[in-house]
Amino acid sequence: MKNWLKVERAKRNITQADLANALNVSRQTINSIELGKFIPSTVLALRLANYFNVKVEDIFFLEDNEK
Amino acid sequence: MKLSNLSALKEHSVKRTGIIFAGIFIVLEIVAKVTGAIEQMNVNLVNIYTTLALFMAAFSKDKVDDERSQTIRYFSLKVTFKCLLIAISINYIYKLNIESIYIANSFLIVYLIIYHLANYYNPEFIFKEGTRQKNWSDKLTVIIMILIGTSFFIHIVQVMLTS
Repeated sequence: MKNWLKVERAKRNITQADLANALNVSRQTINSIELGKFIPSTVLALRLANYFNVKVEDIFFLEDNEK
Repeated sequence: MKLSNLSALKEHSVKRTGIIFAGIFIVLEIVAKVTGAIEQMNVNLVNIYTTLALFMAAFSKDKVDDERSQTIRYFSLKVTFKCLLIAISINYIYKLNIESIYIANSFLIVYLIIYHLANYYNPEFIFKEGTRQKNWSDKLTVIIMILIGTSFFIHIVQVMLTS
Protein backbone atom coordinates (compact mmCIF):
# COMPACT_ATOMS: atom_id res chain seq x y z
CA MET A 1 0.00 0.00 0.00
CA LYS A 2 1.29 3.44 -0.97
CA ASN A 3 0.19 6.83 0.26
CA TRP A 4 0.21 10.55 -0.52
CA LEU A 5 0.71 11.54 3.11
CA LYS A 6 3.93 13.45 2.42
CA VAL A 7 2.23 15.31 -0.43
CA GLU A 8 -0.80 16.18 1.70
CA ARG A 9 1.50 17.37 4.45
CA ALA A 10 3.57 19.45 2.05
CA LYS A 11 0.41 21.05 0.58
CA ARG A 12 -0.49 22.34 4.03
CA ASN A 13 3.09 23.03 5.08
CA ILE A 14 2.86 20.82 8.18
CA THR A 15 5.86 19.08 9.72
CA GLN A 16 5.84 15.42 10.74
CA ALA A 17 6.07 16.51 14.38
CA ASP A 18 3.03 18.81 14.05
CA LEU A 19 0.97 16.06 12.46
CA ALA A 20 2.14 13.54 15.07
CA ASN A 21 1.17 15.91 17.90
CA ALA A 22 -2.24 16.55 16.38
CA LEU A 23 -2.98 12.83 16.06
CA ASN A 24 -1.32 11.84 19.36
CA VAL A 25 1.15 9.46 17.70
CA SER A 26 4.94 9.57 17.57
CA ARG A 27 6.87 11.37 14.83
CA GLN A 28 8.50 8.04 13.90
CA THR A 29 5.03 6.61 13.24
CA ILE A 30 4.27 9.37 10.71
CA ASN A 31 7.73 8.88 9.15
CA SER A 32 7.19 5.09 8.91
CA ILE A 33 3.79 5.56 7.26
CA GLU A 34 5.21 8.03 4.74
CA LEU A 35 8.04 5.63 3.85
CA GLY A 36 5.51 2.79 3.42
CA LYS A 37 7.15 0.73 6.15
CA PHE A 38 4.20 0.80 8.53
CA ILE A 39 0.59 0.31 7.46
CA PRO A 40 -1.66 2.20 9.88
CA SER A 41 -4.82 0.77 11.40
CA THR A 42 -8.19 1.73 9.95
CA VAL A 43 -8.74 4.09 12.87
CA LEU A 44 -5.47 5.95 12.30
CA ALA A 45 -6.07 6.07 8.52
CA LEU A 46 -9.50 7.59 9.15
CA ARG A 47 -8.06 10.08 11.62
CA LEU A 48 -5.41 11.10 9.09
CA ALA A 49 -8.06 11.56 6.39
CA ASN A 50 -10.23 13.48 8.83
CA TYR A 51 -7.31 15.74 9.76
CA PHE A 52 -6.62 16.61 6.10
CA ASN A 53 -10.35 16.77 5.37
CA VAL A 54 -10.09 14.27 2.50
CA LYS A 55 -11.26 10.70 1.89
CA VAL A 56 -9.07 7.81 3.07
CA GLU A 57 -8.60 6.64 -0.53
CA ASP A 58 -7.26 10.11 -1.42
CA ILE A 59 -4.31 9.40 0.90
CA PHE A 60 -3.93 5.62 0.77
CA PHE A 61 -4.09 3.47 -2.34
CA LEU A 62 -3.31 -0.11 -3.29
CA GLU A 63 -0.56 -0.97 -5.75
CA ASP A 64 -1.47 -2.92 -8.90
CA ASN A 65 -0.22 -6.25 -7.54
CA GLU A 66 -2.28 -5.81 -4.35
CA LYS A 67 -5.66 -5.32 -6.09
CA MET B 1 -13.46 2.84 35.96
CA LYS B 2 -13.82 1.81 32.33
CA LEU B 3 -12.21 -1.51 31.44
CA SER B 4 -10.70 0.04 28.30
CA ASN B 5 -8.71 2.42 30.54
CA LEU B 6 -6.94 -0.46 32.28
CA SER B 7 -3.43 -1.21 31.08
CA ALA B 8 -0.79 -3.73 32.06
CA LEU B 9 1.83 -1.13 31.23
CA LYS B 10 2.97 1.47 33.71
CA GLU B 11 3.35 5.18 32.97
CA HIS B 12 6.37 6.49 31.05
CA SER B 13 7.98 8.03 34.15
CA VAL B 14 8.29 4.54 35.65
CA LYS B 15 10.63 3.52 32.82
CA ARG B 16 13.31 6.04 33.81
CA THR B 17 13.00 5.11 37.51
CA GLY B 18 13.32 1.40 36.61
CA ILE B 19 16.41 1.93 34.46
CA ILE B 20 18.11 4.06 37.17
CA PHE B 21 17.39 1.55 39.94
CA ALA B 22 18.37 -1.45 37.77
CA GLY B 23 21.66 0.30 36.94
CA ILE B 24 22.33 1.00 40.63
CA PHE B 25 21.62 -2.62 41.65
CA ILE B 26 23.70 -4.11 38.81
CA VAL B 27 26.67 -1.83 39.63
CA LEU B 28 26.22 -2.66 43.34
CA GLU B 29 26.42 -6.39 42.60
CA ILE B 30 29.46 -6.03 40.31
CA VAL B 31 31.28 -3.90 42.95
CA ALA B 32 30.37 -6.43 45.65
CA LYS B 33 31.71 -9.27 43.51
CA VAL B 34 34.96 -7.43 42.71
CA THR B 35 35.61 -6.38 46.32
CA GLY B 36 34.57 -9.74 47.74
CA ALA B 37 31.82 -8.16 49.85
CA ILE B 38 29.29 -10.38 48.10
CA GLU B 39 29.78 -13.13 50.65
CA GLN B 40 28.53 -10.87 53.45
CA MET B 41 25.48 -9.51 51.63
CA ASN B 42 22.16 -11.05 50.62
CA VAL B 43 22.78 -11.28 46.87
CA ASN B 44 19.39 -12.88 46.25
CA LEU B 45 17.65 -9.79 47.56
CA VAL B 46 19.73 -7.56 45.28
CA ASN B 47 18.88 -9.82 42.33
CA ILE B 48 15.16 -9.64 43.08
CA TYR B 49 15.37 -5.81 43.32
CA THR B 50 17.21 -5.79 39.97
CA THR B 51 14.48 -7.95 38.41
CA LEU B 52 11.74 -5.67 39.75
CA ALA B 53 13.55 -2.56 38.50
CA LEU B 54 14.13 -4.13 35.05
CA PHE B 55 10.49 -5.23 34.94
CA MET B 56 9.42 -1.65 35.65
CA ALA B 57 11.67 -0.39 32.87
CA ALA B 58 10.63 -3.06 30.37
CA PHE B 59 6.89 -2.90 30.86
CA SER B 60 6.14 0.78 30.95
CA LYS B 61 4.71 2.98 28.23
CA ASP B 62 6.65 5.14 25.83
CA LYS B 63 6.25 8.91 25.85
CA VAL B 64 3.83 8.48 22.93
CA ASP B 65 2.62 4.91 23.04
CA ASP B 66 0.84 4.31 19.74
CA GLU B 67 0.03 1.32 17.53
CA ARG B 68 3.53 1.29 16.01
CA SER B 69 5.22 1.00 19.41
CA GLN B 70 2.74 -1.76 20.33
CA THR B 71 3.76 -3.69 17.18
CA ILE B 72 7.43 -3.23 18.08
CA ARG B 73 6.72 -4.33 21.67
CA TYR B 74 5.01 -7.48 20.41
CA PHE B 75 7.94 -8.24 18.07
CA SER B 76 10.52 -7.65 20.82
CA LEU B 77 8.61 -9.85 23.26
CA LYS B 78 8.33 -12.61 20.67
CA VAL B 79 12.07 -12.57 19.84
CA THR B 80 13.06 -12.35 23.52
CA PHE B 81 10.74 -15.21 24.49
CA LYS B 82 12.15 -17.45 21.73
CA CYS B 83 15.72 -16.67 22.86
CA LEU B 84 14.72 -17.26 26.49
CA LEU B 85 13.28 -20.70 25.62
CA ILE B 86 16.51 -21.61 23.83
CA ALA B 87 18.65 -20.33 26.74
CA ILE B 88 16.60 -22.25 29.32
CA SER B 89 16.81 -25.42 27.19
CA ILE B 90 20.59 -25.11 26.75
CA ASN B 91 21.03 -24.40 30.48
CA TYR B 92 18.95 -27.48 31.29
CA ILE B 93 20.43 -29.89 28.72
CA TYR B 94 24.10 -29.00 29.23
CA LYS B 95 23.64 -28.58 33.01
CA LEU B 96 25.25 -25.14 33.01
CA ASN B 97 23.62 -24.41 36.38
CA ILE B 98 23.11 -20.74 35.64
CA GLU B 99 20.70 -19.37 38.23
CA SER B 100 17.29 -18.68 36.76
CA ILE B 101 17.19 -15.14 38.18
CA TYR B 102 20.31 -14.26 36.14
CA ILE B 103 18.64 -15.68 33.01
CA ALA B 104 15.48 -13.66 33.76
CA ASN B 105 17.47 -10.45 34.32
CA SER B 106 19.58 -11.01 31.19
CA PHE B 107 16.51 -11.44 29.01
CA LEU B 108 14.76 -8.41 30.48
CA ILE B 109 17.87 -6.46 29.43
CA VAL B 110 17.81 -8.19 25.99
CA TYR B 111 14.14 -7.21 25.62
CA LEU B 112 14.89 -3.58 26.50
CA ILE B 113 17.77 -3.48 23.98
CA ILE B 114 15.73 -5.10 21.16
CA TYR B 115 12.75 -2.81 21.83
CA HIS B 116 14.76 0.40 21.84
CA LEU B 117 16.89 -0.60 18.82
CA ALA B 118 13.77 -1.52 16.85
CA ASN B 119 12.11 1.73 17.92
CA TYR B 120 15.14 3.72 16.75
CA TYR B 121 16.02 1.91 13.50
CA ASN B 122 12.42 1.07 12.60
CA PRO B 123 13.17 -1.98 10.41
CA GLU B 124 10.47 -2.72 7.84
CA PHE B 125 10.21 -6.49 8.47
CA ILE B 126 8.73 -5.93 11.95
CA PHE B 127 5.58 -4.52 10.40
CA LYS B 128 5.21 -7.29 7.80
CA GLU B 129 3.77 -9.93 10.11
CA GLY B 130 2.38 -13.07 8.51
CA THR B 131 4.02 -12.55 5.15
CA ARG B 132 6.28 -15.05 3.43
CA GLN B 133 9.44 -12.99 4.08
CA LYS B 134 8.92 -13.40 7.83
CA ASN B 135 8.68 -17.19 7.78
CA TRP B 136 12.44 -17.79 8.02
CA SER B 137 12.56 -16.83 11.72
CA ASP B 138 9.72 -19.24 12.59
CA LYS B 139 11.42 -22.02 10.59
CA LEU B 140 14.71 -21.32 12.38
CA THR B 141 13.00 -21.52 15.77
CA VAL B 142 11.35 -24.83 14.84
CA ILE B 143 14.71 -26.24 13.62
CA ILE B 144 16.44 -25.17 16.87
CA MET B 145 13.63 -26.64 19.00
CA ILE B 146 13.81 -29.93 17.01
CA LEU B 147 17.60 -30.07 17.53
CA ILE B 148 17.22 -29.42 21.26
CA GLY B 149 14.43 -31.99 21.47
CA THR B 150 16.51 -34.58 19.58
CA SER B 151 19.55 -34.05 21.79
CA PHE B 152 17.33 -34.35 24.87
CA PHE B 153 15.85 -37.59 23.49
CA ILE B 154 19.33 -39.00 22.74
CA HIS B 155 20.39 -38.06 26.28
CA ILE B 156 17.40 -39.98 27.74
CA VAL B 157 18.18 -43.04 25.57
CA GLN B 158 21.87 -42.95 26.63
CA VAL B 159 20.86 -42.76 30.31
CA MET B 160 18.45 -45.67 29.84
CA LEU B 161 21.09 -47.79 28.05
CA THR B 162 23.79 -47.19 30.66
CA SER B 163 21.52 -47.93 33.64
